[in-house]
Amino acid sequence: MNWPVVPSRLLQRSKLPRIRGHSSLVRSRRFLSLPMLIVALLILTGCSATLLRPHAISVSELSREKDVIHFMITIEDSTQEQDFFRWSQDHILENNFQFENPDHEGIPLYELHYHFRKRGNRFRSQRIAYLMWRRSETSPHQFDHKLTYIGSGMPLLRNWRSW
Amino acid sequence: MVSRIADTPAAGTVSRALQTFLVTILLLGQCGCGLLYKHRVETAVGTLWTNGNLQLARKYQEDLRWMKEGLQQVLPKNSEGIGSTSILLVQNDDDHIIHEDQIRTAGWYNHTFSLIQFTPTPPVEKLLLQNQPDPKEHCTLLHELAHHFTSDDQRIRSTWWLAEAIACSLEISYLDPKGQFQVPPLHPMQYQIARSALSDLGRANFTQLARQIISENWHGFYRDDGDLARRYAISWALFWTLQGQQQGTLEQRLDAVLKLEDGQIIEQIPAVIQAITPSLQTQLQQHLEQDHHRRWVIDQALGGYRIHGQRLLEAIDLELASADPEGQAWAWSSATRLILRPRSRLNRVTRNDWLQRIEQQLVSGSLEVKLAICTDFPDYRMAQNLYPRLIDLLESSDGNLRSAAATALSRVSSHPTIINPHFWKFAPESKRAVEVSDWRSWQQNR
Repeated sequence: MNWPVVPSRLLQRSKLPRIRGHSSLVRSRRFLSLPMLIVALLILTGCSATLLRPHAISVSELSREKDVIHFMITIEDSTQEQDFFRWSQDHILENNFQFENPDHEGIPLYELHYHFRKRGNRFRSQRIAYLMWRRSETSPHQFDHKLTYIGSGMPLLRNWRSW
Repeated sequence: MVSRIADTPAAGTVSRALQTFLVTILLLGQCGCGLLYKHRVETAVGTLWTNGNLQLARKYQEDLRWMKEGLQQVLPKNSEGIGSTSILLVQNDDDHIIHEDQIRTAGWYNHTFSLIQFTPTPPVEKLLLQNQPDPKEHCTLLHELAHHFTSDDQRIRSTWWLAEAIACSLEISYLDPKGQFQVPPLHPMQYQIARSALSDLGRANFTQLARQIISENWHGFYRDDGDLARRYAISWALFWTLQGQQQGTLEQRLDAVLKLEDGQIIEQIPAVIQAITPSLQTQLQQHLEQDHHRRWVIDQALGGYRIHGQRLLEAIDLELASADPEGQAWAWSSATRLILRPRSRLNRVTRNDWLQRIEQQLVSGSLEVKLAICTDFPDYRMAQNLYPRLIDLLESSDGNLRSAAATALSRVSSHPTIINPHFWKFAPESKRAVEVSDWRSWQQNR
């Protein structure tokens, strides 16, 4: 991330009073530092919390059609429903699926299916969410989020053709 | 669901406060909807208010017309002097998320304010339900409208189980291809729930629950204890059995049931148990002979786990013999769904005979029939005989048919293809030819 840099000439023109010597403000600085540190830590942890994604233990891929891919994602623990959306969205962008088809070059991907599973005891995993993305009809270089299904009862459908 | 205003204490201050509240609500009802809702659509039954999609509201505007006419037709006496109602069409903002464990109230009706609140099935649910014969698009709205058309009768209004049973019976009504309003002979979903309840509870507990339902007050009937769906289903089964014992039109039979005392109804619980003992498929078959219900029955039966394929094929044949072009398409699509599915109890000879007939239609049938067959092609691997015909259709001059054939091929074969409809409809012929050539090579090397 690029932080804004204040040009030096603006600093020179600043008419704010300069702190000189041991002013009362400086004396109280040690007392302020602790709350500021706490606030900073809170902000940092808060920011990291909102950016949290489900931690994928493994991602496997199943491709039965030339322009459709199913991803099976095993995660450590349950997470918020929006996180499934963000994870899959990031996955699409990171892999450039809008433009690239890893298995069939030159054939644009049409649908992406994400099946999230939670790792359970004794190697059993439980299906917890399913997401479907389909290439947009109005903006062909984008994928539209068609649905998120939270639960384990979603059948593993091969492909859905129409609304 | 029917909602009501609770009884009020006689105390003067409470009464005055309640009156003020009621007047406020009434005033809001008169002018408030305009303040709360962006769109107002006048329909055959009253004003429809919504903040959602106006296009969807206009669709319901059309549907409400045939629903009203249909209900007037089957309930002529009850419909006399029926007033208008206000319909609040609620659409959820986030209609792309389904929660498996989420229970939502799809609609309710309030007699005092003549108000229907209705939440249509979200598009994603329609997507999930698209393989079912009845996507339940109209059920909720028709259910609440049935409450409105029967609520002027005090006997129905004060008997919660009966009010719901009647609404459930009418909610699955539909407009047949000839434009006639049809009330199906039974409610498959309620039948299955009632039958499961009988199986789970046993005769004694089922009888006890049915007796309890008959005497429930509003709070008792609608309490959210996990058994509400069962109470609806058993109520429906009670009414279905009782009206089946009567003669005459639907309204006459309804009148006859309304004249029964609670004790007389309780006496009939063993008859209810007997009525819901056969399987749903057996029940449905009894109505295959009725011309006006045949297509509905076939559609319902095909959604079952195990079907009597032979009987259904005979009924489909009857439809094929007399059908119009649209009916032909429906019949061939139904035959395809039946032949290409497991657990249909068909012998090999019949199956092969019908496979040949379907293959013939893919060669020389009308565009509508070919489209219907390809569109409804089930995910079934035992249709190798049809691969060459489907591959031929990838070169059809009609883009929709090319797309439907590609979809069908992807469902029945393990060979990967392109399923994007845009490709098959609009891609240059040279690009499509590469894909068709790939299919032909695969077919030769198989």
